[in-house]
Amino acid sequence: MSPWKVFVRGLWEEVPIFRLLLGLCPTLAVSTSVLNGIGMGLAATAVLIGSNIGISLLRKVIPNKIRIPAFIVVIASFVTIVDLVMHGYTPELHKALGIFIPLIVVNCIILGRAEAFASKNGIFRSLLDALGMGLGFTMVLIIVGTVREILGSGTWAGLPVLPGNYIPVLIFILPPGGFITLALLLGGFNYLDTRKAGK
Amino acid sequence: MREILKLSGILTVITVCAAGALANVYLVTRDKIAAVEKMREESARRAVLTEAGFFKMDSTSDGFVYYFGYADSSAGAQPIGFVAMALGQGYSSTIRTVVGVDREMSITGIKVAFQQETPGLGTRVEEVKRGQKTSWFQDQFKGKKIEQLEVVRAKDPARIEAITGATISSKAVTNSVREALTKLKTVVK
Repeated sequence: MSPWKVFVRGLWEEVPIFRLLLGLCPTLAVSTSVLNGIGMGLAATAVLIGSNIGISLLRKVIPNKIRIPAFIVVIASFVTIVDLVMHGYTPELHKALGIFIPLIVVNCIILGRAEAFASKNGIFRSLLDALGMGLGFTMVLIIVGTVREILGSGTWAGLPVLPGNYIPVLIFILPPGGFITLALLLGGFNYLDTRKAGK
Repeated sequence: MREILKLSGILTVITVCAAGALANVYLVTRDKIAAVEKMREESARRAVLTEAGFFKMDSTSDGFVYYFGYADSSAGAQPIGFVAMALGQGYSSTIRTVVGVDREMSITGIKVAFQQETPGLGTRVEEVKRGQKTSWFQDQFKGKKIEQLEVVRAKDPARIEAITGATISSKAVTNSVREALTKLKTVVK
């Protein structure tokens, strides 16, 4: 597989949420607005890059039978270190992204990519994989966030986009709205895909 | 048996290395983080009791922290107000709120200093609406008395309007502020 292919795979062919159905928990939790989605997406991308590189470096040292606990230790330590350093040295950034960090530790995309890709590939390819998957994740969060924010709050990225007399459908920013939006988008995505495959 | 020992050995080495790295980073960043948090609380105190220029800390034996706010640092002056730290258990974190009151125990302002609630729902206790500079939820507290601190699910200028979908976080802030002020009343009077 060419390096370019490794990168773009995360953006369509194996886009984390719609295709792999990984990372649904943070998706449902933070997709209430577009800005939250961008924050979560970029923070997760940064962690994914770090953990993919780390796992790729250690892949020959870690025996196959204990790889999962080893990956979890490496990822959780890395996330905690990022959290502490951000808190101490970039307090403003930490204030904006800090709430997403505890959610990233349990994001299965991170462990998923460590297991499926970084543990079998070199550093450069693992970096590309992390970038592609991270951006794909961010993209889906923005799409889900757009639908939920416009319907549930009448705004997009905080800007009012619907006429003033629009009454927001609150359920869309509540958890049930997250499931409904995700299910409809997933259905739409699969429909497009089957049609494409049928031709 | 030999394999189990070998695998456990390797896993131990990995976890010990990770723990060592964490401990080092913690030691390096600990003072920095404490300084950042201290500065944040200092500026929060100034924001909730704007007329005060000088604060003196005090606390009770059960760990309740409060401050006397003075117009300046000259000796013998009467405090112009008080600042208390309120702690409330929210949905997913302990929310820390700084509360300022004047001498009549009417609230001059509150500021949420720390929270890790659900992004998009509970975190709206700090939400600032476009075109405004301060949080609409926290602004509701201004000028209110202890007995008005009650969460309702409707617009009511005499009480506190809950955040849609985040009643627990709204209540955590409001109830903790009420408790802190009730305590403050007994210690400063």
